[in-house]
Amino acid sequence: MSVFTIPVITDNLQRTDTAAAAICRGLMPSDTAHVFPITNFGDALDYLNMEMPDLACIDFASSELRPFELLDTIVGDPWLLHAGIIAFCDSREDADRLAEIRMANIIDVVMGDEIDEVVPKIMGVIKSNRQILFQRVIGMDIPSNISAAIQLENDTHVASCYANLLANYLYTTNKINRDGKASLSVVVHELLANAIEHGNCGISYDEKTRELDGGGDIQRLIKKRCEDPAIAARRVLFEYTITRASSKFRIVDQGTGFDWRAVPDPTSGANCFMSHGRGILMARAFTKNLTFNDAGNVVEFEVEHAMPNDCVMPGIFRDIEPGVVAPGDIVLREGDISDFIFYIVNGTFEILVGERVVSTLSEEDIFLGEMSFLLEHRRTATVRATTSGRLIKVSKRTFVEAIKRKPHYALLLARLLAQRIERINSARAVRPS
Amino acid sequence: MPPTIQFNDGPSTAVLVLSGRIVAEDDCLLRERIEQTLRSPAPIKAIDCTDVEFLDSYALGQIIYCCTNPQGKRGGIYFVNRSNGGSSYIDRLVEIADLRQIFTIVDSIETLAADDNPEN
Repeated sequence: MSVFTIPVITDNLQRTDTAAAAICRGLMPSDTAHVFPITNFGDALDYLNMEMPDLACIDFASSELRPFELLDTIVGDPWLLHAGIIAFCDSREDADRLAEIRMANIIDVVMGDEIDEVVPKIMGVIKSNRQILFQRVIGMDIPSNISAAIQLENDTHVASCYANLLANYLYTTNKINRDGKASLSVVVHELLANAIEHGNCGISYDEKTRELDGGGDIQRLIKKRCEDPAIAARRVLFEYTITRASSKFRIVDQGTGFDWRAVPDPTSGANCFMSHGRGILMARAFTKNLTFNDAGNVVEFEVEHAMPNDCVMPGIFRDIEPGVVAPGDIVLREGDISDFIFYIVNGTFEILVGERVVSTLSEEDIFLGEMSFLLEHRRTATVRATTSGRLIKVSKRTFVEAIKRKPHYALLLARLLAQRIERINSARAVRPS
Repeated sequence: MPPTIQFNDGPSTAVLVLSGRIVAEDDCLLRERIEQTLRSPAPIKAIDCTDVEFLDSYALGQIIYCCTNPQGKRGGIYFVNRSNGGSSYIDRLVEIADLRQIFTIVDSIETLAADDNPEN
């Protein structure tokens, strides 16, 4: 069972009702959704700041609410305000404008008259991938990989939602750049669509050619095929694993497979004028290591993360130049007076009490030395770099001033400490007596 | 992001202007514009993809088909993507799908405007 608390930021209460109904239709009966309207700019900003929801709907047709100004504010501090956003629009102009705001974590843009149809699909995708949104809110505390295995129905719109969600996540967490985002969207979309069309629905290359060249369309052909209950029951298995270094994807369909070696080269001769047949070519071109199994019903690929983690550092520390450390450097020494904290940009550090290593920290732990910093103790341990790395030294004055400007950073620090205590407690619970 | 597919019908030629994400799910809109293009007495002169975030193989196939079938093809077709500030995704797509076999790739729609001026 999952509980979703989702604000709909709108001055149109009927839209809240429509969204609430659509959201509920996308969830399981055992799930609970609390969907409520926020009808003014100040309340919306306060809610996003203080509650840090993992999902919010913003109605960009509610011009009185200044939704674009709200989005600008969100984008201005993506480390904290990174709720996944479902954007509602009534005009193509607004949708185009949203397309330009690339750093926003917009899961999908839904036209007002499509909320009923599209939002349940989006919610289905979000429910299966909630950890992606939640990990962002928790503040990069990603000690383990993110992975999921999802079964998709034969619906290419859902394929498109997955492509958006994953590409947006990797882009906004700076694991891929803008080109990488477009490429990944295309690859995931193309391969999931292939699995649905050619895999589960068994639509051949020639059949698709006839349909398209005869004025038909592929969605209609898929729907027609799915009138057969046996085909409609087929699913596409979509698996992904996101680690610090790369993301791996695996797509398995339940069709009889296809001879991927025999797909005509779409750049050769008359093939270049064909109305289809470029999906695999594009997917191959936008990935480095795409492989099919022999039967042609399993495809895998990997995307290396090229962007440095430090792009996601908190906005309040961005003006402070990080210091560089080398392996073996002593960062903090046991017994020293503590009046500063370190934000870990990157690197790995061991914590020593005396000569004994008691713990290891890295950028996933976000801060170094926060306990002594908060409690005004002398340092209780020595911190030594085990790799090269970069640290931002933040004085107590700077930190307090930052919290005055952005109080929600205090909430984040509190959450972080709570997580560490929880982790220590969990480790104690499993430790053999 | 939702697509924008505009059809700009000039005095003697037409331009198809695309922007955003254009994928198979936008089939209805894409087809409507393509059919509008095919019905136009003015032949398609150019496809402007400068503001395209990406288009999938289906959308690309439809555009190619529209512009190269006997009804659509009435002369060479220009494919516009500004080399400075255009879509880098489209730049890559031009190479991957070898679109130079089909279209003449140009840098700006403005450079074509002169050809549409009857005084020239």
